[in-house]
Amino acid sequence: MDNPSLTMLKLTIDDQPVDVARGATILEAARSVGVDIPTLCHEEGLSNIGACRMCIVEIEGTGRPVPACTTPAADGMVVHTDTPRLRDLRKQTLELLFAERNHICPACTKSGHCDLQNLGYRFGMTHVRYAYLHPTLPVDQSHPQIALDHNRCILCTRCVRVCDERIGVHTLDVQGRGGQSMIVADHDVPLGQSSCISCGACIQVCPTGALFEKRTSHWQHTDDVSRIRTVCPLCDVGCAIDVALQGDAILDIHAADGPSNQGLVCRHGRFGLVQARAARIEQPLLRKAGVLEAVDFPAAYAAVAGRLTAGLMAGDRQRAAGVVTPRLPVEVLAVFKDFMTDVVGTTRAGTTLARHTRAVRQALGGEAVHDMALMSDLDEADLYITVGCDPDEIQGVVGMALRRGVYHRKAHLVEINAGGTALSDRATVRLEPRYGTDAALLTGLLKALAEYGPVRARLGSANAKTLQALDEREVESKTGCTWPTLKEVAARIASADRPMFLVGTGLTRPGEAGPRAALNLALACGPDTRTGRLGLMFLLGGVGAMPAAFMGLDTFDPTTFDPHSVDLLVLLMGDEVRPLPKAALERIQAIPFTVLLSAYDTPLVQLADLVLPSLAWAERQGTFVNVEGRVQRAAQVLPKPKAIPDEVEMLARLGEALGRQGVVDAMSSVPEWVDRAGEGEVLAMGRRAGELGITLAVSEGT
Amino acid sequence: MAEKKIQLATVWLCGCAGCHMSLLDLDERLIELAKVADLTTSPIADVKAVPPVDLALVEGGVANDDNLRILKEFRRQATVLVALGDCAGFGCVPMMRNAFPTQDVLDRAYALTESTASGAVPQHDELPRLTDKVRPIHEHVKVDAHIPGCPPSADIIWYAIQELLAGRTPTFEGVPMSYT
Repeated sequence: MDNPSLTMLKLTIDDQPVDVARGATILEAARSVGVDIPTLCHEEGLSNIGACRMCIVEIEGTGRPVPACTTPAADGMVVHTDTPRLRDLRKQTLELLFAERNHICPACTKSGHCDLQNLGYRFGMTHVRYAYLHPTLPVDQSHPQIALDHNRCILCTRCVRVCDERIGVHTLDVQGRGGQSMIVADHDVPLGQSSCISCGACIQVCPTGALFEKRTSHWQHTDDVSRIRTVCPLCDVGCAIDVALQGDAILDIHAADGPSNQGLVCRHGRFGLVQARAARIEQPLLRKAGVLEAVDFPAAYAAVAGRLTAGLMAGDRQRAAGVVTPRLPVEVLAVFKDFMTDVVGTTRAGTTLARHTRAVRQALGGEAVHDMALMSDLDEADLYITVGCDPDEIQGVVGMALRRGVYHRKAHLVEINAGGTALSDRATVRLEPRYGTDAALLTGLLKALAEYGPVRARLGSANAKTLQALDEREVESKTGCTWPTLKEVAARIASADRPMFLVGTGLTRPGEAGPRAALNLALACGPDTRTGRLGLMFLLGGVGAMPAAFMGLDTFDPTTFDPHSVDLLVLLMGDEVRPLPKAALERIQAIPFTVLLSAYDTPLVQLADLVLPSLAWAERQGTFVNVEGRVQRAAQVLPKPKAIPDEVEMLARLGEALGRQGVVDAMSSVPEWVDRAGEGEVLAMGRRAGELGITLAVSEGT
Repeated sequence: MAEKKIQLATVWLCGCAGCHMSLLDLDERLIELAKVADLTTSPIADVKAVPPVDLALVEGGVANDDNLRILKEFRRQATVLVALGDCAGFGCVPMMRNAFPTQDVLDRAYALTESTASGAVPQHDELPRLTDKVRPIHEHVKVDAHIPGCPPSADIIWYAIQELLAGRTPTFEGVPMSYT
């Protein structure tokens, strides 16, 4: 392989000498030296099919033009990409596309940023020399967010390929032949009734206005549209997104090619972030005689101070507690924790995921670790074991990787959860253990796995002995899963080259040892021999979940605390509109004084004694640390409402009202370990995950 | 430039007059144009019969039998006939009715609009009849050049006119053009 003539080849494109790797297409070779061959059906990251014939080139010594996207470059080839004949052929091709369906630019939402239109301009197409066919074609508007206008479709199949190759769902395909071909969903059902997972990738790759987002399709597009790169604040993945702004309004959200999401985003990130929410909270509201009344900020802060000094907590600052949504930047999470500790004077502060992040933190030995699985490892795994999670529903981009693995690479899927998922019918094995028995089940699985030599070697004799003592029938009666099924799963794991454990919150009871048991299994399988990383990902459902675990922001759990132990609760919810669990709501109701920071009028407002306005995701900047431990800076997209201070400022003023001048202002808002990491870097701190010990002696229940 | 002024005619068929508005947007260049061309027939001049002309600019596509009659008359009388704008060149917005039967289109326009209490499609021998489909003019007559745009910008129109006056067919490869 050292001989470059075996791996590289030389050709000439438009009189330029080009060196490319063997196997490269003419299109790739041309683009590597900046020769711009026009394309229409080609899309970066998708397979090439040579359908549109825009990229035709002439090769000396051959008669007919060939598509550059599907023709491999060859040694000594002399290629011409821009001759009068090619230009005329491309123009004819464009005219045929315009004649075939009904393209009416001034009435199209895509006009101004349409690939077909731009090629018309590039080749000076002033009219169509062929007679229009004027077909009567439907517009499928059955989907809540996506419309499919067949009049504007040029059958490039970019949507079909992205849906299959990258999303792995393969809802879209082509039906019929030739000019009568139609893009169809499933077996020709309306898109809104199909297997579509609403990720909207098809909209983003569509070169024309055939697939478009309904919400803003009627907007008059202006030239001042700008795209701002930021990070989706919703789930554990932290997808890079490009938010298009027209004035101060969000036109659409595209997936950006970020280090974790690689050009993909799920329905939550593309559509959920901009869907209409409840009414905005714009000023402080203080409950007086049972009714919330608008007050100014000083009065609001004074009310909190008054409650604290009026003997509410009988001098015991531990009777105050704080809860924060994990969908906030690390800076806000860190300041909130320090505010509760240094200003309010309580050690009780946690996220809404506190019980899960605490379990993860304890499983990892109480400190940060690195070398956990990366998102890119999902595309290498040959076995996925999902435990109490449905990534297809929550962490959509993870779900897409699972679909690609299962559908394209024949990876196996073992589902361990209550109730099915969209991927259940493709699962090799499904286990439905009783709620709260995940630790017992996974430990049983470890025992079954210990039959296999390499696992036994990693376990060590003490652990092997403990497992031997584990009664199989007890596992069966506790979990409701049969031992032979566990043995079947163990055999799958043992024969897998790269097993990947994806662990969620769906089966774990407070204080139980599910994460520890999952870690034991991943450790028993050993870190990947090629990457050194552990095949384990904790999918807890919040982009701040892992940093909250590393920060120990878990000393207060809103779902399990004793309501009689709290006199004052500070709830920082940001723009969170998902309801808290019933267990949390019941407890919050019993607290004498609850301060809520919320952007929207959610049901929590009715439980609060003081409501302070909060910012929406697009109005703040900050740092996110995702499930990989990757650090990404999110940019502010929209201007902050003038009347609303950001949370850090609000906590600082609240601190002053509590007689702690300058304490919050002086807080170093970014944890040092975040500050140290460069943009897009994965944290390398604490111990390596693969070097953690297998610990079976875990207490179940607290 | 020629000593003798050229004879120029313009007309709009199934169009919205936007292309003629763009023509007027030539602003002070209209004076330049008047130095070399006499405007004979035009919606602006309100002269309907067309004498023999050197150059005719046609806005709009063909949507009824009257459009077709006028187009054919212009073709007979003009040495050079140019499609001005996207309706003449592509069919454009009026072509959106092609998805529907003509009777449905007429009913929608005259009888079924939400603001119409009781309406009927006008019927008279003098009224033009809709063609089955709206079509660009080159599907009916030979067209010598196209000026794209909805409407074409004054700059594009001026570029095309200068090319035509110089005896060249305007081409648009490398010229900043727009279909909107």
